[in-house]
Order: sequence, then C-alpha cells, then structure tokens
Amino acid sequence: MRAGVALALTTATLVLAAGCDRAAPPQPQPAPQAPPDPMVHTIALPDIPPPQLPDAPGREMLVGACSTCHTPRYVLDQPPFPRRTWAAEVDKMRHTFGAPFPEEMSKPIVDYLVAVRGANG
Amino acid sequence: MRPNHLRRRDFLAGVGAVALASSCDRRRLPGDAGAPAASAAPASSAWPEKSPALILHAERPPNLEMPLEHLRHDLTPNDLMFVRWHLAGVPTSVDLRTFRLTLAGHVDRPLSLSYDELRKLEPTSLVAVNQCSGNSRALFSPRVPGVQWAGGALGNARWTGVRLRTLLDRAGVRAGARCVTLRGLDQPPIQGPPPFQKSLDIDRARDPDVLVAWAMNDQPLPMLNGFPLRLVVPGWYSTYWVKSLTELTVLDTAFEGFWMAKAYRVPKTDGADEAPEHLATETVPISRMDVRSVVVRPEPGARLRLGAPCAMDGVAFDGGSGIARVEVSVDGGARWQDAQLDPDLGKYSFRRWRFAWTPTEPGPRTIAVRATSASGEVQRPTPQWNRGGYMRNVYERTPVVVS
Repeated sequence: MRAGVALALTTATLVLAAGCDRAAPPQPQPAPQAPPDPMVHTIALPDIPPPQLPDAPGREMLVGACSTCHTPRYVLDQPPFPRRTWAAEVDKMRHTFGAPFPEEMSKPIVDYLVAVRGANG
Repeated sequence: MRPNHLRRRDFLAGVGAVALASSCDRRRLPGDAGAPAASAAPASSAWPEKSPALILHAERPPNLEMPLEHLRHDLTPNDLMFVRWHLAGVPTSVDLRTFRLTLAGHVDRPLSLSYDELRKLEPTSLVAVNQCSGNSRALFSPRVPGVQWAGGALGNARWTGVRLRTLLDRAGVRAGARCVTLRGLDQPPIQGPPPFQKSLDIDRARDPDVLVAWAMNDQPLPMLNGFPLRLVVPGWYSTYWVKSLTELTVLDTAFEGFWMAKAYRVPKTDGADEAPEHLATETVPISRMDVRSVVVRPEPGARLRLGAPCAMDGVAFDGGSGIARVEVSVDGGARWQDAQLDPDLGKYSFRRWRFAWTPTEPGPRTIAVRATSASGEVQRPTPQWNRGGYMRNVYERTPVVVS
C-alpha cells in the first residue's frame, strides 16, 4: 500500500464517523477529526449492512464466495436473467476477477442466482 | 419505461425529499408502474460529503446514483454527483504531504509532483458532463447485467486543474509514444482482480481540454469523487475520468490491460448497436459520448391542468461539439417544435432547454424531446442495444395526463 493512503480493504475499516450529522451541509473540507490535520483528508464509510438475500439453496455458498470482493446487493440490483447469462457472470468472476472459489461451487451458485433472479431465454 | 420511474420512487421513499417548484402538477397516476432494480435498495445514508438523496446501488464498493430531479441544476452540486467505484479498496484517507502524482515511462524526465506543486501550475477551468458509460443500462431491452443505473449516473460540473499536456511536456514525451496509462489509488480487495487502469492514446492525452483536476465547482473533490486529483476527459464517458489519480505511465506500445482490452468495449457499429442473437464480431474501447437529452419537468406521470401553462425544461449534451437544437413533441413524436436554449456554458456542458406548453385537450399525452449536436448528430428514434448496456441515446418519452 502506498504511503499516506488508507483504503477500505476490509469491513473492519468501515467505522461510522463520530459527529457525522446527516442534516449538516456538505463539507468540502476534511470531516472533523481529532486532532484536525489540514493536510490529511479522511472519510469514514457508513456501516450499511449487506442485505439479506432471498432464501434458496446455495445462498450461503454465494455469500461466502462473492462477499470478499463486493456486496451481495449486486445480486438484488439485477433484473431476472436466463441461466446462460448468470453462468457467464459467475465464470467471469472466477476466471477474470480471480474470485476465490473452486470450480465445483460454480453450479450451486448459478443455481441460486437462477432461483432468485432467473428468467426464461 | 423512463429513467425517472426508478429513481423517483426511491427518492420519494428516502429521507431527502425536496419540494420542486413548477407550474406542472406532479401527482402520480394510479397504476403507474415503475421498473424494478434499484427499488430493492434502501436510500443511501451518511455517505461522507454526499447527499442522503443519492440512490444506493451498492455499499461495497460504493455505487450511488443521483435522482433525476437534480438535473434542475445547471451545475450539479458536489454532494449530488454520482459515485461509481469498481473495486472495494476505495481510498478513505489521503495525506497530502506524502501523496504524489507520478508521470514516468517513455519520457525524458519522470515527474513526481505533490498536490501543492500541481496547484502552483497554471490552472484551466471548463464545464463538462461526467456520465457513466452504462448510464440508463436499466432501460435496455433485453436487460443486460451490470449496475442498473436508471438515468442519474451523470452530472455537470466546472472542473479546474492543470492540463495533462502541460505535465507531458514537462516530462518530455519521447518519440514513438503511443498512449498514457492512468491509475488511481483504489485497489482490488484481494489479489486476483485486475487493478482499475485505463489508457488514453497519446494524441487524446495531449488534447488541451484534458485536465488533471483538483476542483469540482471550485471546491476540493469529495473523496468518493476522486480526491485529491481526478482526470477529466471532457466529451468522453467517465470510465476515463480516473479518480484519485496517482500514476501516469507513457507507453511506446499499446496498453492491453483488462479495463481497456476486455471491459468497456462497444460494437464497432453505427450507434454501438448490435443484436442479442448476432453479437458484433468487432468491438472497440468506448470513447466519445453520443448526443442525449432529458426531460426534467414535467416528471413522468405528472397530471397537467387543461388550459394552464406548463413550463417544461430539461438538459441536452453531447461529446463535445455542443448542442445546436432541441425539439419537443407533445404528441409522442409526430410533430416537433423548437425549444428555447439557455445560454451556452461551454461545448462540453449541459445545455438547458425550455418549452412552454399549454395543453388544450384532455387525456394521456406523451412528451418527447430530441437534441441535435453542433456537429449534426441527432438522437436515435429507436433504442440501440449492446451487451454492455452502453451509450443509450434514444430520445426518451415522458407520459403525462391532461385533465
């Protein structure tokens, strides 16, 4: 990691900002920190819990395999797709994005996606 | 289906509802069905330096959409500019004492510049639309995977920074240079995903309007919009507007990274159009924005009063030639009349159009708007389709009821 730069790499870094007032106008300058340092700009990302996905076989497998890199809300953001579209997405995640799950988990994950966001075609 | 349908429902359900001033009544029609997608997500809240009105598509990485009501601003307020990150390792703290922008590779004198050093260089300002390649992906038919942006993955702002060309000249680009790669502070959360790295051909990078910007609307960039520095490539989709820019490398070869060679590609066809059953065999990196216009007022489903004037307005923009003409139809596209254009804020900016309409007959009506660019490009009468859900520019139709 580069010097002087912090990244939101783990959920442990997602800490609610003390004194973060929703009603306050947007602040172009760094949020209040103690002690304030005008040369360091730091934000705290909100602690929005990941959504509960619909219950169907394979849910825990999907959450375990996919949540390392992104929120399972990505699934809820999608419209229904046919199996071949979901299979291509899961394949892309494994092969292009290096998602850390073995080949044999692909089918149950695709089955889950088809169960909760499936379409004919 | 219209972009307004999605975000309006979420917006009204959220905490940030804002009263809108217009002569057009905006009661919703009973049974006015919106599209699904983003409605499953709660309103975003407490995003630093951002408005709670933004629509949450994802919390990790952050993906936040602006409700289209806010296109009533000629310059999008900084807290309403949409947010799009690809990788969960987004920057959350930057120490300006140690932050550097480097420019290396096929150059004579590699640079390493601090924020303060950059800001001492001659600043340039311009107003430009920042629009995601996949804006309005949710309106594609058949639907395509990806963040399901309704229409608010765009905004317009005044950007201030130093010309990239100035930095390239300081570094002394060597003969034979082909492109400049662009890298920000964001990181993949694990080893495996390709880092988000883009490239611009050297000629595009040397365009005097391409800026390394430190200010948006005369304020520092919000962290989620790329503090401390963001590349601004006016006229081109924001995939090239790399946020938290820290590393520039001049190459004497083509750049074959994933985000250029595999992602953000469009069919090499007219209007980036292809058929689901006959995908184009040749694709190219997405680049210049096509011409678009949006109706802001009245909103879809508005009930307009018979005989009462309705002040309609919206915005139009293109990939950098400017907007020459905007036409409005109040009969679904059969007959067109010229809208009035507000003063020009620059060829890369939103251009606001206005049209006064006094309905004289009751019943359902469809408002349509189409823009023509200064280069003669007109919006499409029928939607294109492509596998990535990119570059939608059909003229949109807004249903209203006169009573």
